[in-house]
Amino acid sequence: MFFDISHSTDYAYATPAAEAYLEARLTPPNQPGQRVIRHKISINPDTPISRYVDFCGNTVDFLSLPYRHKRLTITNQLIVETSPRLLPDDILSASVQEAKQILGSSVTDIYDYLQPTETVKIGREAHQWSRRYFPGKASLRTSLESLNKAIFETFEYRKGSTDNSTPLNTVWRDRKGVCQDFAHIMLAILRTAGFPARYVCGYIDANPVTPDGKRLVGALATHAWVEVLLPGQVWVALDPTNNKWCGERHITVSFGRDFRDATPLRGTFKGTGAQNMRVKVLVREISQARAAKI
Amino acid sequence: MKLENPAVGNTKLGGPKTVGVVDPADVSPRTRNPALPFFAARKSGEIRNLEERMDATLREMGVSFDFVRGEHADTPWVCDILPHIFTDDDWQTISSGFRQRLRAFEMFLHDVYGKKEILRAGILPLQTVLSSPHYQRVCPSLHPAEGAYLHLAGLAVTRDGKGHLVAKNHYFSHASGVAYMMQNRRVLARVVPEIFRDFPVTSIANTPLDILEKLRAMTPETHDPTVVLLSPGTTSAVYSEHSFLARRMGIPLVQGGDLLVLDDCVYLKTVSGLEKVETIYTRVADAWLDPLVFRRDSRLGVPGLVHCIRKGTVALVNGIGSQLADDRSLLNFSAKIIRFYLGEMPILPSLPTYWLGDADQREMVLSQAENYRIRPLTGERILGHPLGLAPTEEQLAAIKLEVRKHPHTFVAQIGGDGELAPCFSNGKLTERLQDHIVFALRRGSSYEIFPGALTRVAPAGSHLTASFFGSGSKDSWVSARAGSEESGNPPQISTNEYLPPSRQVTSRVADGFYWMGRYLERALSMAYMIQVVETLELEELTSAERKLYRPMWNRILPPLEAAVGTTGRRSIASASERYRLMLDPNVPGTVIGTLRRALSNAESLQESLSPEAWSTLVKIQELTEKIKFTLDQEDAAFARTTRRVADLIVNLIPQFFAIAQGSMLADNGWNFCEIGQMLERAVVTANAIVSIEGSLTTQSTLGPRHSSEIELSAFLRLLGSRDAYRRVYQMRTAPAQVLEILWKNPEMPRSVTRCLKKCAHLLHESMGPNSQYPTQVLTSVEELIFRIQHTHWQEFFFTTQEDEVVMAIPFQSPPSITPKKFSDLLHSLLRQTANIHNVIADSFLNHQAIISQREQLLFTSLR
Repeated sequence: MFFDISHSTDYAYATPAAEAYLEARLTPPNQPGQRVIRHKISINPDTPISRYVDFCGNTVDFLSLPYRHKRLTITNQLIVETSPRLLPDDILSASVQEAKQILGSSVTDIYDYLQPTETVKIGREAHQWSRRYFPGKASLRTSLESLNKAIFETFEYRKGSTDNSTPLNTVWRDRKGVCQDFAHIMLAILRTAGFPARYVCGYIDANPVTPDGKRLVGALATHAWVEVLLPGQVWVALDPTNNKWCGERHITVSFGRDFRDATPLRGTFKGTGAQNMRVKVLVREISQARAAKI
Repeated sequence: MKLENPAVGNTKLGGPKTVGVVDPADVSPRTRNPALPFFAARKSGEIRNLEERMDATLREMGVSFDFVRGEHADTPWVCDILPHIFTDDDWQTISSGFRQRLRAFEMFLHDVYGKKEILRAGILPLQTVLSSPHYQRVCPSLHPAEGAYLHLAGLAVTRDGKGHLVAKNHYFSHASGVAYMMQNRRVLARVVPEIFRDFPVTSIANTPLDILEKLRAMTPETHDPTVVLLSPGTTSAVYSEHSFLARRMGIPLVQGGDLLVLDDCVYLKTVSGLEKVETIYTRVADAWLDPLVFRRDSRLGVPGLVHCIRKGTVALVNGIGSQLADDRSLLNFSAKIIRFYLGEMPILPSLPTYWLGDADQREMVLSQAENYRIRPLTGERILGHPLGLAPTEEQLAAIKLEVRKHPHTFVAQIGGDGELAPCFSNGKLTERLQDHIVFALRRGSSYEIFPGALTRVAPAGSHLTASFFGSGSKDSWVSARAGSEESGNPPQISTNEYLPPSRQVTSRVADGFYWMGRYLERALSMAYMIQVVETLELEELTSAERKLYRPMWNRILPPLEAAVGTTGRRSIASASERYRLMLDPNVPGTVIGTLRRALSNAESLQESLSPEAWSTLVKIQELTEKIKFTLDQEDAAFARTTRRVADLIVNLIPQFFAIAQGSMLADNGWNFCEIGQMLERAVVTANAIVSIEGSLTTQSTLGPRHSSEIELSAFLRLLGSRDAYRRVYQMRTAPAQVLEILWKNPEMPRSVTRCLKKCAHLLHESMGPNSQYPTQVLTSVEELIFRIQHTHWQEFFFTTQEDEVVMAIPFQSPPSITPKKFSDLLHSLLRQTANIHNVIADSFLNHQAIISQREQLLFTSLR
């Protein structure tokens, strides 16, 4: 499938900001099932971009605006081709116990994705869930799918019910949140169960995909899901907010140990006034012919 | 000489024991001190005198250690009159052991931020490294300057229970204490130069130059690199050390806000423009260095700094990630680390240190917690008894509770309190616990160990030596024999290369001065006006006349208040209202509130102010603190207090300016205080004139002549300009003349022209030959002066034939002159005067002028 995506973030300041510095993680990787045809980041006011690759493998653009400005808009435009993601059936049929044994033999490089973080803390509930959904004899596929489903059914997706500073404990308690919280909950359980897991930030196409005409949740803003590492160094992606394996309609942008690593825009401003941020994401499916033309 | 003094017992924990009598001859051979005979020959009173001179000299040198963080308690630094003298053998062990550790830990840092071989080999548990709060994931993408993390390092050395020298703590990332080592030598050499005669002491006088030379050599491709010392500022307990080092190296002492990032380079904001920075010697911990990468709430750092390091445009000493080497949980693995990378046995073993994140070690330690020093992974805190004595039951319970909450953030050490050594206290010889911090500088691929140390001495009755606990210190000697074998690297800086101290005034300092000047002048203007109004109440004016002052006041005040961020409009009709305007601590626009702002600016500038100027400010500060604000009193009491405070302020502020002018270097820093003062005065005058616009153009109800005159004369009096007016004009107050004198008179202190001319002069002086702002600022000030001089106020007024009084005309003739035109002119002049602030700020303080110029060029070239 082909998608034309536009993602704009607009900062408006009550009084002009004197200095602003930002890091943008907005460059989608080329990977199996995803090919980037065109990608452009535009900044208004025009600002030079300086690029590097961070420790999670993300391409990061550093921007500095040390002069007075009243607003700042960052627009990410992208044409991308996706294809169905093939699941490694043989690995998924292995048992939890076997998989953990293999993964445990070389922990040094996957250490980070097994640890709790400031945001993804591991508590009593994560332990209970990991015991329930990852019994040693169960197959990986069963465990992962039933966990995905359980999160989807137990937690209520409610826009605006949490924000970036809501602790995960509150989400566990209130049983509601947004895609970011669903992903964090899943990360906590997977890591407790001994499976390296990472946070993914990206876009999702909201076209009707189910026979009953239901739309996928998560469009109109950036979406978040989870990838888990299987033996053989294979990452597979699950979307607990939609109770699905990630597929053609998921466009991956950035990775991290949690939201904080992967966040699309992270910045700091010097100024006296308040700041108002507005985000708009538009994902459109387009024809191959059109994709070639653009 | 037999002296009685209770001293601390031995290194085992327990209450202080009285050693009783110490005779120099009884001191064990290891601690026998060649400097002792000099003192043994002297009476205790004489020694006490010398001790007092040590204290006084240190105070004079401004050496302090503020272990009460954030309370600005300048705690005097204490240095014992008896130096510590390392034996050649001890020094040999310490210096070679230190070098070995540095070599091993440098390799360790490269490894754990790279291939992680030591972890793959299973030598260290993964979590001690990868879960350490000091392990920085950003490191693999950064290339440390000169390919090394550790350039200037410290190491705490002590003796264990068996008397062996051991490493107690790494200060590899921040060589905390290096300035105190130098200060101790300086003070001892000044007070008792005699004792240096009989012992071949290796000099440490070149230490700052060695460090500077090293820092300058970090960027070989730059001929004359800019090196700065980045400090957290006055909130740091060791700010005095930062300031000393910067002064002795002649480099700017900066804080995060002094630097900015542009095009992947770091720039220092100075009053003569942006200066590219090549090397930063940082005393700010990693976690606070860059809010984009580390703690997002940090205001001590520089956003974008890490990216500049990544791009290799700036060198940081020590490299980001170095702090991992100081993590105490690694101390016990030092032997393994040394063996893994160097294949050697450790020359200087570690003090046994147990990491409490490990369940077995934790249980072992907690089961007899009273025998251990339990402390965080880094930093100087120690849980338990504040003097390091045996903890009480309660303290023991608290220790256990805290450890169990976050076990992985603590370690426990045993038997490392230090060794007992002779020292003087109050003229008497006694024994105290001591340990040492030694310092090393990376030179080429080896390390130079500075031949000296900061020896820390536990206070009487205490077991803790860290300066953090208010301990004392000793100068520490290395013999020329041991020292010369040691250094091998004679300082390479030629002595005739003169390094002038940095005269660069950073924009932050200039900004602080500028606002201090503005706020002081503003507080003075307001206090003066309140004083006038209070005096008028005592005078025999008719109530109708008195009332004339009030509307004027009500129009003058709001702009003054608005300038400090409040729109509240207060009346001055009653004594209590005037009292509140003067002293209400809860409202920002009051005189006292304005003074507080001035003082808070002054605090950040303390080291740039002369002691004389500072002591005047202290008087003002005492004034703001002494007065108790209460609304529960009689009118007469309100008036009394208001008058008293007004008198004091009206005296103290001009006193401050006079004293400062007489005692401060007229450099860019101080110039900006006067620029602030002059500009504030010009704005107050311009503002005041707009406030009486009505009185100038309409006729009052009391009849034209009388009312106009009283009103204008009241106005001049509020501005302190009535006498000046009389001397200049020798006539009754009339509108055109009032406008002339306040706007144009070149001699009257309040006139806008005079203030602006002074500003222009100071600005001219501030702009050195290298200034990136040749004309812009001066042009705008000069344009304004030109405009004021070419405004003819007489055009708006005429003289009636009958009584020869100049009055506000009803604007009948000529037709081009209208009330609107008059009003527009007043307002536009005020705007232009106030706008000088923006021009000054954009040019000198926040650099918008340069950057926007640059941006325009950039965009033009793109088009």
